[in-house]
Amino acid sequence: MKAPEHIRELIKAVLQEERQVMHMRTRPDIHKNILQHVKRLVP
Amino acid sequence: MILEKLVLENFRQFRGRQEILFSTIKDRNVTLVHAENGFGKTAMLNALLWGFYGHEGLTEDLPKKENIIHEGTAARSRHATSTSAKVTIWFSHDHERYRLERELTLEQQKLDAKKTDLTLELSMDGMVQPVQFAQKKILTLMPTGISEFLFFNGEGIEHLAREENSAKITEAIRQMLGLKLLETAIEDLRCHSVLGKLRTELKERASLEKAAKIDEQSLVDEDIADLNKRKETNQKNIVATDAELGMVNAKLELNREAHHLQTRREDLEKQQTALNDRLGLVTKRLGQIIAEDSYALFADDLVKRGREIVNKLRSEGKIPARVLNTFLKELLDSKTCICKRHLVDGSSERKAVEDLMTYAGDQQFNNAVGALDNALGRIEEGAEHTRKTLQETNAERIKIIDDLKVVREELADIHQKIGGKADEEVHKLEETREALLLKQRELVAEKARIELKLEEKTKRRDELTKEIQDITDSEADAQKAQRRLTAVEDSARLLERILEIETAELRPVLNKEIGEHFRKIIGVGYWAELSDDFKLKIMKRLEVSEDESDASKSFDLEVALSQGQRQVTSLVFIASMVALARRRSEIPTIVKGLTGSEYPMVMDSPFGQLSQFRPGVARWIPELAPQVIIFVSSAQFEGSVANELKRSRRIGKRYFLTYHGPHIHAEAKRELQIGKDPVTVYFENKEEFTEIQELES
Repeated sequence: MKAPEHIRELIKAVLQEERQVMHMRTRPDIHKNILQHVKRLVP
Repeated sequence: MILEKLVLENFRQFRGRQEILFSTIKDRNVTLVHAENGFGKTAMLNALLWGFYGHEGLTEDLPKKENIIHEGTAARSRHATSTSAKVTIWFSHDHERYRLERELTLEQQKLDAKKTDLTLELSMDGMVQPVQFAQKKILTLMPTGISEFLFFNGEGIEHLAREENSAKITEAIRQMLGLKLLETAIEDLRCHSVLGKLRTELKERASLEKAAKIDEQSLVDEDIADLNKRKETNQKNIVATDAELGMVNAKLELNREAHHLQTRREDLEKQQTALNDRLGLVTKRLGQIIAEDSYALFADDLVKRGREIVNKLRSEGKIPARVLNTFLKELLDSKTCICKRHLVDGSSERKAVEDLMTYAGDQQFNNAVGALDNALGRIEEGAEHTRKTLQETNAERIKIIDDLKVVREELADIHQKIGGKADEEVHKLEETREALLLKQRELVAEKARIELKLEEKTKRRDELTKEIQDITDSEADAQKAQRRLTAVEDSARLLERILEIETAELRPVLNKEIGEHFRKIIGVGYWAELSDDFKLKIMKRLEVSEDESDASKSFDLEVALSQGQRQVTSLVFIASMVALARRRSEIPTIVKGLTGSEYPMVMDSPFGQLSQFRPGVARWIPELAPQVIIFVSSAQFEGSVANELKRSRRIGKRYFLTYHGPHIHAEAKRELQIGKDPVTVYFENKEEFTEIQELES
């Protein structure tokens, strides 16, 4: 499975973000953080 | 996570400071706590749960959950702020060592016992460092979704092997093996605050045509979300209806009036399921034969015509050809006949040889006719074989349909007989059963409808994604918004694919694990397997003799389990999952290394209903889990469990609880024969309290 570099980077960033909060009941910043990663990695 | 030490201070019936060290030696990974019923086994399990999760972690069977502080101590206290209950746990996780402390003062207990003080410290290179957001960190190390699989009352664990709890199993597997992370990531990428926001940004900057398509896609997404919710509710209703139906069936079986008929009905229903499965397979096979081989049956006329042609050519002497065209051509090219006459252009001799070319065959023609002849023979043979196979398969199908008819007639007859019973309770149960069956059918039909709609909507969403991407934006801002939207959509799709592959790769690994351990403990004849949707099933193979021959056919049946078997199944499942989580990082799947750790198994009275499976559980569970802590009464321990644990040399630490109180449980012993010498475990006393004593090995 060969995805473009920016997609791979985005997935990696999202998974890292999710891993930090994976067992929390409320995850207030997760969507905001994912959006920031999208904007950073896809200029 | 490996537990190292537990210190209790005035927690429930543990008065004063009591401590226990857990064995952390790999080959001696069992810590055994002997305690008679009523002496504090459940309180000790709850001390660990309270330590990790606070009030929310306490087990359902713990009475008076608001009274955490030792009752006598609380009653004597003169300073509510300085009297407290405290639990301190030392543990290690992924090579890091932690110290956790949870405290509840008497003052706070009176106000709200749910509010406790928690501190978590991380020890690194001799330095102690407080952990911020301690509860969140604990939930990251050991989420509540898996804690009930790790800290449990053995007698209550059998519920995991029930159909209605398959969702919990799925959830635990996904959480422990890292799949949950992928699911959440996909959900978050597709949620309104990410994908929705990017879509709005694009819509604001794109052409009218594109904006309209984005609007349509948002509506389709809403439909998909709605359908997914309906699907979830439908699934819950199916599970609840199945459970209700199970209860009605159990009640009918227990009823003296209906017992015999209900037992027979359950047998017949199993037969019906097996026959339906077989019918599905045979029908599929029949379809395959028709699709792949049935052309031969319709080629009779062609074969006949082909034969006529070949026979005619033979009778005319054209095959095999006596003189070959290739030979005549060589004569013409060399301009010399076989009789040495010159074959000069325009001569009568040359013309005579040229005329022969018209009649003579060539080798290719000979070969082609030969091949045709051969093919005709094969088609005839194939047709015969196909006809025979079709007849046999169809006969098998008809036989199954006939058998099904007989089973269904008997089932209808049983329904009439049970429904017609004079006993009012039986009559009502049968009515309820019928209504539930109807509901079950409706729900299953609804499920199929929802899935079909979901498929349609998902297809439309993907089409729209492509259509939106294909409309080129003129402005740079719109192009950027489109790139971002596409990146999120592509990432979500790629993660879905990864999840699919990951699930497919992990299931057989876990299945093998469970299957192996289940066989070791339960023995031959049965096996455990996880279905495609991670439901835990116990199967057995049924051999059925055919009517007219000695040949027998076998098919696999799901087994209805006894309480003991369900308990073993649940234990094996948990141990397998713990064993797999332990070596998760070694399993070569895509998200390798994302999760996986060591977890302990802390079991309160795990041998209760196990009867003949006790030695198997005592022997194999400590082999699978990295750390096992068992709270056990003498009634459950003595005999096979004691022998097996001693023989395996797995016991690393042994403790016993002494109980001081006015009364003792009817079945509890005052003295235990657990070490070299008998130990007294009950002391009559006005005030109730429990103490932890280490047993010298």
